Amino acid sequence: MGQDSRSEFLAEAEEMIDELSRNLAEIESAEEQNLIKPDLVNTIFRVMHSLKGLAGMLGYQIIANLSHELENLLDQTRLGRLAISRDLLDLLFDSLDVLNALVLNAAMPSDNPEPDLVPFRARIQALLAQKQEHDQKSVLAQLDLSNEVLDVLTEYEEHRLADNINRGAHIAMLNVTFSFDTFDEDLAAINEAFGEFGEVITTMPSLDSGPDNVIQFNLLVASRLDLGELESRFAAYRARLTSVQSRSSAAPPRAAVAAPAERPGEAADELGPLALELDEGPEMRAARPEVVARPGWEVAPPVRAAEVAEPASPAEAERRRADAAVGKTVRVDVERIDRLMNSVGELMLSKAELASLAARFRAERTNFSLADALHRASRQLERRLIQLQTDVLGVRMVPLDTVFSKLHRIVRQASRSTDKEVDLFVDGGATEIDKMIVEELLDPMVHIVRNAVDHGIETPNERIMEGKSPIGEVHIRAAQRGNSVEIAIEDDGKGIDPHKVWAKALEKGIVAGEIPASKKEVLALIFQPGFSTAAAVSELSGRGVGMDVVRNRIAELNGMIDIDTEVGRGTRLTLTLPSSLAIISVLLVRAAGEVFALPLTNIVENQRVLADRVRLVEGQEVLLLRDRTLPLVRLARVLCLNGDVPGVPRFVVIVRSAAQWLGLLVDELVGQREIVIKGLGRRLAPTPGVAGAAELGNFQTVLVLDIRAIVAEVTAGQDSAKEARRS
Amino acid sequence: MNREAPSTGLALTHAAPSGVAARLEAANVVLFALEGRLYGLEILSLDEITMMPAITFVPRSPSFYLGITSARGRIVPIVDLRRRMNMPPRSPDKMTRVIVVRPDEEPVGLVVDSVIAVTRLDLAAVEPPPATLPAATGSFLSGIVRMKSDEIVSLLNLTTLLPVE
Repeated sequence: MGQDSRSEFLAEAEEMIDELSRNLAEIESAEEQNLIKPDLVNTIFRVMHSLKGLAGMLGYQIIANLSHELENLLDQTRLGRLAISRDLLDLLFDSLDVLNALVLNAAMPSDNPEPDLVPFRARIQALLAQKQEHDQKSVLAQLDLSNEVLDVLTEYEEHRLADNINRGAHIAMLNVTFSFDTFDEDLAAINEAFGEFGEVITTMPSLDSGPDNVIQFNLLVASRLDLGELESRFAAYRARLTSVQSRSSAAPPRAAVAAPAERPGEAADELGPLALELDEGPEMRAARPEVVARPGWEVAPPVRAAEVAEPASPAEAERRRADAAVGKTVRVDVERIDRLMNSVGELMLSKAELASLAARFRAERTNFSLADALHRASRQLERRLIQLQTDVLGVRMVPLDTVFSKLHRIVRQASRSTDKEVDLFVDGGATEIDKMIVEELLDPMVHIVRNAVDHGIETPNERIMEGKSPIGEVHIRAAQRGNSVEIAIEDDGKGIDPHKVWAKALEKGIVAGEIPASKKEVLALIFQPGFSTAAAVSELSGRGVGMDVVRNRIAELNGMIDIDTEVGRGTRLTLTLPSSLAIISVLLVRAAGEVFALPLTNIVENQRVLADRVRLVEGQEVLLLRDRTLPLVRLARVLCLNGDVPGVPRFVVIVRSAAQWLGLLVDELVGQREIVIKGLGRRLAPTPGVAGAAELGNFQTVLVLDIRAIVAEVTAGQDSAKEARRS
Repeated sequence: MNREAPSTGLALTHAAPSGVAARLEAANVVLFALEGRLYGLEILSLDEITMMPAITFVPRSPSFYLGITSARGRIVPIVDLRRRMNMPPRSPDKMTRVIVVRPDEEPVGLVVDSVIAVTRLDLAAVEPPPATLPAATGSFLSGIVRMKSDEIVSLLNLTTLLPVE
């Protein structure tokens, strides 16, 4: 098997496992809230089936066999023979890890031992053994359904029907009429609308013939709304749409009302929160007067999912958007996108040439109308090119949910292995970020979230003692801030005590003397490489891999990391990352006569240099900045430029890479720009401190500096100086 | 002559598969001047010839790089060929040109004193560079050709001249 098809398999299988993971997390939360989401089990069943097919087709027999067994298990579950139990969910979550390991091994053969499947298979079999055949026929017999209808129901549909009856839902036959052109969309819309208060169990084309261009369906539906209200819900459409002949029918000729007796008087009490939904009815109707105005079948589908099934909350809407984004994707090589970008860049230059020709033509004043037309055409071309550029850049962007969705599993694993109860809340998953960043972001995020659960959140007992809810919370919030994306990971655990941090740092010989007044300065020690060794932080963190690894990864992405914590209240880590690697905002500065671009994501602030804020520490300049003291270096000197003017430069740009601060002295602040960053090519790429270059227009090219490399270089020098002094 | 060996053949570029040039009877070569001597580059390895562009200095890059410029939406490193060939420096004048070559997918600009002509060279006439050349400069040549006028054209080897890293 070629490497290509292997990596193709890996990518596809990983997508499937992600989808399984997302749906499992939803099932779990639905179960906790005692909601029924049969479609979720169905989705998982279907995805598992696809995974089996994919693995089988490519000859990964072990994976195919295992997914077959799991598919079998899921089939029994969706048919109601197996309850969705804790054990089942645990097994399914564990199966994701097993499958993941198998897929990785298959795609990239390595020395990793194959997971031992024997105990896992035994668990599947043990669960399967619990399956129960139940007598659905007798339940269904209560319904006044003709044998004609009963005979066409699949086993799954029978189960859904029986399950709904057992849960006390109202069962009805709904007769609807759709245009031939749109009936598939309309059916989907009704299905989705029902998701709010019931489900469509089966859809049967009606034999009643209507006008030629329409088709009628009988929908066997189950609803938590009682029939009167269900009818009024759809009657609203009928009332509005008499011309489109949609009619709901509580008692069509061949269907009848379900066994649970109707008690219209009590219905409202039973419904509880659902009554609110119904209140929206008139508003919805009022909001759609245009439907009435449209005659005929062609234009006015009676029900639209987006309108009827208003998402419950903005977060829900966001999740749906993210789901949609995940659903229809094409994998594209980033190099192809870069080539597209380059082509757009060349088009831009051609356009500039055209514009300058147009300007010259106008200046000649020989043919005004033609010159004007040419000018307008070139302006229009410009606008469209800018749109094209924006769109091409957008291709690289993916929602952060692609990372966040994987964290549910991590929280689950971590909380189970530590006997804690933790809920993960995610907000802003639809925020988009460069694909390249997303790929690098997973590891640090996993690390941070795991840390929060392992060492932030207390055990349920401890939490109760503290007067907190026994269930800990981890919140992830993402938002776009200009050209950056900010991700905050916050737990409501025990927090980190700065005094303990300082004591550990003293013990490790990283620091000396009194604890500084600034909490931030103390907390920054957590990111020091020497600090987070297993032995050093066993009390505070206890992990072998430290925060310095996280810091390094964030720095590699040109990001920044902040920590804030309060003892007893919790800890918040804030990551600030560039949202795009291709287009970035920069500050242009001048040093030794040359102009350089500094990425804004790394800049904290700029200041005029005030002599009384600069001190000398062992011959090194430092800047006193509020509660921090940071090293100062001249940019010209870092870059070994001649022509560095003596005396103190006029401005300092305070930059950060991850948690490390540095003041860069420059001669002049030139301004802020948005640039498309380009690589220097393989020949110049090894140049230290330079990330790339960008065209400013007017044939001017500017170097974009690599703040991470500069900060690392400068502070490494200081570290070794420190070492030298110590020895 | 061993036609397979790139050091003596006219396979000056990675862009043209090494076998191609060797199979040809003749090749079109751009002749240019450097320190009063004639040099040649196969035309297939050329992107364009331009006037001296605005160049942005790249601190801490190898000294023979003058810097970078932007051309057609790409960043193009500019090499001072005189410095690369250990020749004395000379300020650019109106004859100075930049020959943009593509030793691989990435273009590189070479600053030369002047561009003389494009000529057709008989490949059979390419000889190895004289063994007496210092190793540093000798490795930059892929061969020499004696023209009818008895002038010698030194053919540049882009692979050794413009190494990656």
